[in-house]
Amino acid sequence: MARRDTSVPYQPQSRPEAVVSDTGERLDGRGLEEFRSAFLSPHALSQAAGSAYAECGKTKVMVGVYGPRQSARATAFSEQGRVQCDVKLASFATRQRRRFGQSTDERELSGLLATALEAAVLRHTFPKSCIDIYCLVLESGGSELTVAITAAAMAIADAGIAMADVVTACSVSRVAGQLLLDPTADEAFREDGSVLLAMMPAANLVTQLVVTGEWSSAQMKQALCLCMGGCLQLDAVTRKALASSEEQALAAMRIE
Amino acid sequence: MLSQHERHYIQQGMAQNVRNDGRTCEHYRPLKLEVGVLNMTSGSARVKLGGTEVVVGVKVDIATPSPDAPDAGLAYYDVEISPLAGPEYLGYAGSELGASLAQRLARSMQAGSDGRGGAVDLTALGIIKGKTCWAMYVDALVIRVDGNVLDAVSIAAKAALADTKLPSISVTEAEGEDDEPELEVDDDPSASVRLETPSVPCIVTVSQAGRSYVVDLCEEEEQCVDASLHIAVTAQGSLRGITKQGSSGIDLGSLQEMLGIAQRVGPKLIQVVDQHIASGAATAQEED
Repeated sequence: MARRDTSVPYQPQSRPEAVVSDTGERLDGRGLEEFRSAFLSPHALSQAAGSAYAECGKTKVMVGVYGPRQSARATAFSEQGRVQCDVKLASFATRQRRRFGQSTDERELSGLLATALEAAVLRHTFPKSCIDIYCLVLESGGSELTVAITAAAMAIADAGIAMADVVTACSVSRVAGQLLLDPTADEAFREDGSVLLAMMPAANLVTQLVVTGEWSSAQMKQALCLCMGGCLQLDAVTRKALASSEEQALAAMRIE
Repeated sequence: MLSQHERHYIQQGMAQNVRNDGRTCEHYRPLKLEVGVLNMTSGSARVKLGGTEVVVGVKVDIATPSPDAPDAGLAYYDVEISPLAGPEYLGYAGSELGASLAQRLARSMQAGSDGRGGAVDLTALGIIKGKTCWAMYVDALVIRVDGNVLDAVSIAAKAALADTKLPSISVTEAEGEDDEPELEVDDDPSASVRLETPSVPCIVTVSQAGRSYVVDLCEEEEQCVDASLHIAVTAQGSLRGITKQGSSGIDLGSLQEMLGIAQRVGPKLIQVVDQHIASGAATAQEED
């Protein structure tokens, strides 16, 4: 549903036809069930209550969390705090420059992100108020939403807002019948189906599930298992990054 | 807004598989479906699901295909919640809800980037490769809201698509090299081609309230559930497009069970919808 711009990039977009070689290797050298190299770092911004920077392959996402604070939008009384998300793709994040202003897909991503996080945040701890999560995708290299969910959960933890568990997310693309874990943009372009799973790994609860394409029950189970494995891997990385950032903060305090 | 005790009452009912209107957890409300209700469209349908009422119109225009899928047409899905349904849908709130419903409907229909593998075969909408195609606009208008709007929208969309006829079009090859091929659209309605829609799914929203799983919630019941899954199911029972909603997590066992319920209820629902479509423009009323 992308509105077409009047200008086009001067280099034609060449997307690879086949994304998996005969030997089962992907374009970037990964196996089918292998993750891209991930870098997660909490506390990337100083002015936000909590923040995180995440890189998964070429996808780069920055998240800032503000609050709990009074909602800028007039809302009705609520015993449960609100989680407001705003996902923004930078105008230079994609090949084709994006227009300014919120597009429909950004609005949708914001909604999906909010659902993924709401279940984890203990919202009764901040009644009548809200937390604002601003998420900026600096470079869109595929699976932006999963990276955004993982980074946002980390930023909320960094802000010291009570959560039942961290949330990690992972997606699988189906290309020509094969399931590819953590797809890049080129792989996602060739997909005929996709599954995105966000979960709280310790509590074993699913907080978001987004599926496209036609799936049989058996294949869906297989894809969910693959996603779960990915989420658990990311969970370990997330916890380690949070712990080491906390240790650094403590060490800095001791020096002072 | 419900009081805590009203909520508890409804949840207890769900736990015992009896709901306020006497339905069990896996029953839909009475469905009323009419097709071919709007003259200005290529296909249309009107659905009443309990107190929820939706009208869908499908219009086709001539457009240029996307460079990624030169031999396929384009499909756009939109949902508008009319302020007739209530003053709370006026302005921003209504358009935000409408946009998210539209995304979910589009997700259930989504095709690959080459235009293949969608619920509607988009290559059937191609006219001249790389030059001309049909752009199909599926617009839903929600007139009354009484719970389960998305399911009603998807039923109406399925019926409207099944009712859709594309004008037959003949292409005359260009004579000179620089000339464009000529298109001639037949304005005789009997010469039009019906759109093939066997794999268009219906969305079944399955909600979790404690240990019970419920379909087709009315407005009050929607306030009593923890989380919902919008699951699009085809007539064969395969899954096609899922989105989660609601502020609780779902454990994996429940998830599998909810998928199973959708796969059980969905094909039955589609059977009823297909019967309505087959009985034509005649108004039919039937209880699931």
